[in-house]
Amino acid sequence: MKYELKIKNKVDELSKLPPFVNKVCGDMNLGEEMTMNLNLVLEEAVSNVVLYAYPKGSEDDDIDISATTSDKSIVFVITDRGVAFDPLQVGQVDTTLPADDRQIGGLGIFIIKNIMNELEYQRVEGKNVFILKKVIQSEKN
Amino acid sequence: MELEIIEEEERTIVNLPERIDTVNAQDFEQSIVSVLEKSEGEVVYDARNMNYISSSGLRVMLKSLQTLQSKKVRFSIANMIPSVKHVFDMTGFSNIIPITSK
Repeated sequence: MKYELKIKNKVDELSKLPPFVNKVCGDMNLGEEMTMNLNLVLEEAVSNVVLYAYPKGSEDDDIDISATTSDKSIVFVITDRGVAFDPLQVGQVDTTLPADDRQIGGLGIFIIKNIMNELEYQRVEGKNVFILKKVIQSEKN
Repeated sequence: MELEIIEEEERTIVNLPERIDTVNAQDFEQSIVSVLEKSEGEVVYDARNMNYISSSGLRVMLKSLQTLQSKKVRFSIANMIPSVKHVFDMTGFSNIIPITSK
């Protein structure tokens, strides 16, 4: 199955993500925790685009999100026309540091890397294309 | 954002909303400014109603911890459901913020 969602480049539009992700996960009979994890991944990935790929605040630009599902995996593709922004190059956070030394940035991509199995970034014809794959082990996962 | 805030002697309890995400994190942060400024003794965030938190929400948790620690006010988060606790574990936040079941 393939699902598609188009949103505008502004923070409020992120509230359109949960219904989209919940529909995809519901159709796949995924459990509550996996559904929450995938909601988290999509929010982190798309909010990075809103916050970093469109620094001029051009709120009318679109962000395209698709989900392609099979028995064994879900592949999300996030496409935007903002400035080149490779989310995989964001610095790693050290999650073992004490509170005072914790850095605020980089947490979103850390969460994405933790939950997803394969990540790929491409810059194609002036577009950022971020591909995120999750392997589904069983129906009840 | 309307938050239920219970002021006890030596302890302030803040009932967290159902979700803290990129959309409402700033609003939530505004709503707890006075708690962070005025509280003495102990602050507890009660997460019983929370079913979702993203990195934007975790940032506010970290700022809360840092602000309260600098004032020597104790801080903990109580009553997390397992999937929310999982996010705190994954990001190492459960190593720095005490998590209790109250």
